[in-house]
Amino acid sequence: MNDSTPDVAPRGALLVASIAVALLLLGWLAFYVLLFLPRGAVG
Amino acid sequence: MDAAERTEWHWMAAMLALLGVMMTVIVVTSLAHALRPPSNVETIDPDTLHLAGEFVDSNLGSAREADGSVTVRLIAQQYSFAPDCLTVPADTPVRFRITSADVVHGFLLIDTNVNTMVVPGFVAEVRTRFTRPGEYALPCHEFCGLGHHAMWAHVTVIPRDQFPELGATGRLRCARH
Repeated sequence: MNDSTPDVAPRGALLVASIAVALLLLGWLAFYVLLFLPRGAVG
Repeated sequence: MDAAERTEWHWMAAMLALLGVMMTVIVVTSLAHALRPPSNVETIDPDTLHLAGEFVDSNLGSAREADGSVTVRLIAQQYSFAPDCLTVPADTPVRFRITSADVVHGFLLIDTNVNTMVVPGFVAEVRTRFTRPGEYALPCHEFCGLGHHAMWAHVTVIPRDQFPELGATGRLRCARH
């Protein structure tokens, strides 16, 4: 076991990363549902 | 397992869940809307397009099929679409069949998901249904030479009840005013 590994996960970093990923997912969903799907089906 | 390792496992699980959500959304909506990339593979001789077969001039434009759907045939060539003005009905299955007489072109209807490459020697086919009447721009979106920027056509979508009854050989092109 590496002695330099922290015993406690950095909660602030986790929060920032979680917010960033949540915004990414919301942005993707918004483009998909509000822009892509209304443009109609193709095949 | 130390704290850092546990956090990494939790984060990896969250990312897998995220991918699962995105894949589920894509698969469910694709199946529900019959939404998929156009994948027609059909060959044709680009040297004889204008002489005989499906893409002779008299057969280009919108044609009414026996089942009520509409098939639109057009040719892309440096630097125009033939015909450069099309008319289709709204709320009707529409099938675009397009091929190239020379180099690679692009077929894109702005504000819709209609989008395919037009490769000489192949017939590209895209099926869609327009829900909103109006005029849609159709630019070539694959660089095809010096006149590429001027290669545009227009598709006018009119209400279904205003679309004329075309006979078996009737073809409709422009309805712009």
